[in-house]
Amino acid sequence: MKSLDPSQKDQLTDLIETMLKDNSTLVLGSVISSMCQVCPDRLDLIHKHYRKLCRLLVDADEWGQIEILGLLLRYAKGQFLDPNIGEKTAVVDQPRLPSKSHKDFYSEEDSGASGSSCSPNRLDPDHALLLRACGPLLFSRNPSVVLTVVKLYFHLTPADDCFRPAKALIRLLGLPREERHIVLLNIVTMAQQRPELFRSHIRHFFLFEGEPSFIRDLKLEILGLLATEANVGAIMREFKDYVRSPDKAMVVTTIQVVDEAMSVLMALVSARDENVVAEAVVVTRRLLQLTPENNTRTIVHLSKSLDEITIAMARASILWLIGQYCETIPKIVPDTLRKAAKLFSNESAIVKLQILNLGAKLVCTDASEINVLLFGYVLNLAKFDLDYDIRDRGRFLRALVYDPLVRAGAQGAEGRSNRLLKTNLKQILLSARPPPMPENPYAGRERYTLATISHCLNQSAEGYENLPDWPLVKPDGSARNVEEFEERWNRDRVISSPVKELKFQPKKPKKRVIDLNEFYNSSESEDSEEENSDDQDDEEDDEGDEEGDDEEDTDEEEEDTEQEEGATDEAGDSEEELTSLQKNDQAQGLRMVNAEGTQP
Amino acid sequence: MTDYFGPVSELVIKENFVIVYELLEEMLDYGNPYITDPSVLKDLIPPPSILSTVINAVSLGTNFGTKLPSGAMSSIPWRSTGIKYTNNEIFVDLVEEVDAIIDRSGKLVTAEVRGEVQCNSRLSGMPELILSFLNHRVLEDCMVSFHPCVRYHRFEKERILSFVPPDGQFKLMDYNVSLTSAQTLPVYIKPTLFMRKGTGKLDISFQPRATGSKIVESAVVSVTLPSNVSSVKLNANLGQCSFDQMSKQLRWTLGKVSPEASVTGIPLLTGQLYFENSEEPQPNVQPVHTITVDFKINMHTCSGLRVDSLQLHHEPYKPYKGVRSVTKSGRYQIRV
Repeated sequence: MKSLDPSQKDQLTDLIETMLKDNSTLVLGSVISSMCQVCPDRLDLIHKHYRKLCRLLVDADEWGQIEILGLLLRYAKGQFLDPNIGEKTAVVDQPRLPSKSHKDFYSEEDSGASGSSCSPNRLDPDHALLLRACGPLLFSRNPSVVLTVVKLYFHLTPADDCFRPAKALIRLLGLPREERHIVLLNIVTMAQQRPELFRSHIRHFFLFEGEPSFIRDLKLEILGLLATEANVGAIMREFKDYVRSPDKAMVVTTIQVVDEAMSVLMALVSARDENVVAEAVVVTRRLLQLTPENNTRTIVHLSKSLDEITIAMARASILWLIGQYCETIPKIVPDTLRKAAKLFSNESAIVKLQILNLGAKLVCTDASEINVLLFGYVLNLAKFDLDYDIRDRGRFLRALVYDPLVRAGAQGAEGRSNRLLKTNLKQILLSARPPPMPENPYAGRERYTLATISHCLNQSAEGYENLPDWPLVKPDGSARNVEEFEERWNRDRVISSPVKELKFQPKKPKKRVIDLNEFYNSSESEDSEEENSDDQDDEEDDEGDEEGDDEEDTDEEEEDTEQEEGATDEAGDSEEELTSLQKNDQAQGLRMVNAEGTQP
Repeated sequence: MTDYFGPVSELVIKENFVIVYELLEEMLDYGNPYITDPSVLKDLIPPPSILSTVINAVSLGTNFGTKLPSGAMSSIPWRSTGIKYTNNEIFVDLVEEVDAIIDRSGKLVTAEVRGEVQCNSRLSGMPELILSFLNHRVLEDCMVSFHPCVRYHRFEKERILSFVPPDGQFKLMDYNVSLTSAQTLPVYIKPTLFMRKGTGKLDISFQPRATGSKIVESAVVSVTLPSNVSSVKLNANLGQCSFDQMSKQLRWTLGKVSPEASVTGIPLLTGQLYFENSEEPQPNVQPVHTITVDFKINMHTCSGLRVDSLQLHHEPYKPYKGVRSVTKSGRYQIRV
């Protein structure tokens, strides 16, 4: 758009309007593509051609199909009602297969119905026409086309009609890896919103050895999204295999996805591999927060393995866990603190922070002599640490916890503010924290339309525009009703399209009313007549009466050849116009002849 | 580009830069992809020939096609009019690739066959072809895709392909079939791996199965051994095996394996692995994870799809019709 001269826009728009009337499939794709560049907002130009576009979609060339689909998607989004409003939430978890029968946990409805949409009486017939017209395009060999069709279905159809397109996406997983990556990205977004589309195709997302990491991560993500009670057994078995792989990164990613099956994780914790253990511990921590009961054994086990674990994240997590639940496990906490305090100076920053926290919590719950001394020792170490964060935390905890205790112990009296602080201390330090939600690298793409560059990159590319929202009130569809030729569309037919022949089809013929006097006066200058006729074209009604024809017949022939929009008749003085107009619609010619016959 | 130049490499691109640039220009119209069909492109930009290269070098002549695209374009953009051959022939190839993951217990985790129907048509005029399959039920609903020349509605109704072929080599259709049982897989590998302190033992057996009594050719089994393997002692009763120290890759090249192998003697590879430092193997890490198998089986399709008949209409001659099929391995992996 930058390179197009804005002053030319109107002219180009008119040109495009003309070319839209062409019936040739070879031309259509390019016309739509230029339209999107020149005047993307002029969707009103499409009204008359909507049904033609739907019909010709199948025969256009591949890249043309993509452009047309994009345009029709935007048009449809603005013109039809959302098919999902008011739909009952009877989750249909299985596709409608007329011949096979699935056993399925969630399906309520019988799947005997035909392949048409769920509630055909609610979809506007033009809307349904579009969906039907796109169906065959799923067979295209061009993966781009298939993806565009899927995008269209996803955004336009009722919820349960998307199974066929989803299946087509699965087929695309056999492509080379760059294309596979794009397909998987789109599947992730779709699965986030409608996971039931892909549930029966889980096996296609299992990982192969040697797949590049970006594909692997996407597939694992999808598997995680698709997990339900029914298939989680199969998925977990797969994951068990993945974590045995010697590829560390893959193992780490797998663990991040898993949020069930504690037993497998615990087995991993005792494994020697450090990264594995680290991730396992982090996940365990999250899980423990979710199910706080019966954790004692787990936490004990974790604290025992603290000795061997060297990864900082893991140690920090364990320490935090112990601190959080120190009320339930009073025996090991002081010992853990002791061990940690010994190694304090060698630890990394996050671990040191956690040790401080641990000490504070311990002292909070159980202010015995030894604990206080231990905590004091740790605080002193923290006071001279290189990292300002730790010094700060040390100071903070000291003021909050340590000093009041020491003072209270020494003086034996408690000030009022101290008491307040003390009672609230527990709450400050030990309140239940919400479990951290794992960061999802693939979240947040829903705001972009599927199958766009913005979607892949997860940020707005230049020229990206969101699809319009569904309208609240159904716009009038009568603009799409046009007179159509009774053509039998046949693929083998040679389509030749002289423009003149076609200009009469979409619009009803315009009549002009010109005075007989005017004609005689202006016969020398064609230009003024043209101007007159142009003005009057705008004012006309569609239906003229027959009486007006007599006068018009003789007037119009001179303007016809210059005008784009059509006047209609054959009668005329000049021979050349007669021959050029003979290509016109026979019916209208006849009418004119009849009218002529009545002329005196 | 392989159509135009043969195998593509950096040197090839540099030599034929002009044509590559012309191709790009035709294919992309101001950033939008425009014509990507190879047959149409060949009309507009002729492939390099010795003569044109000589002329270019000598007299700076341009490389444009000597005839413009003829004004009388046929209604069918993928086939020009006026094609003539003395021998009319049409060849249909079914090429299948099998992707499979098999569990350590021999159970199938996932298996998929990706097939293509490739066609080489050397027919004159504007023939109409009808290709029908013997067991079209193998093809599932959305798992097929066609060349634009195929008429969809006839396929949906009768499951036959009705089309006017482009000239030359082209891909008519591709399809995806999921296999459900391990019995239909053409090759069965039984691995056993045993690791101990300092040494390990590896056994791999290779058995063709369900190949329809066809020979398995170019069979190669490769395993990536863990990085602490120092040396390997191998013994195979069929083919050669080698171990690459750098990449720790073990390759067993079997060559041709006939399906009567179970009678004459199952190909078996036994090996002793020696590790660098003898330490206790870790319990939960599997050092050898997958075994990759490559093979090729001629005249056999793993999915079972077969061509029934190929009829030609609208032309008076009788062409020579050739049909063949081949099954290749895609990502065929067995987990240990």
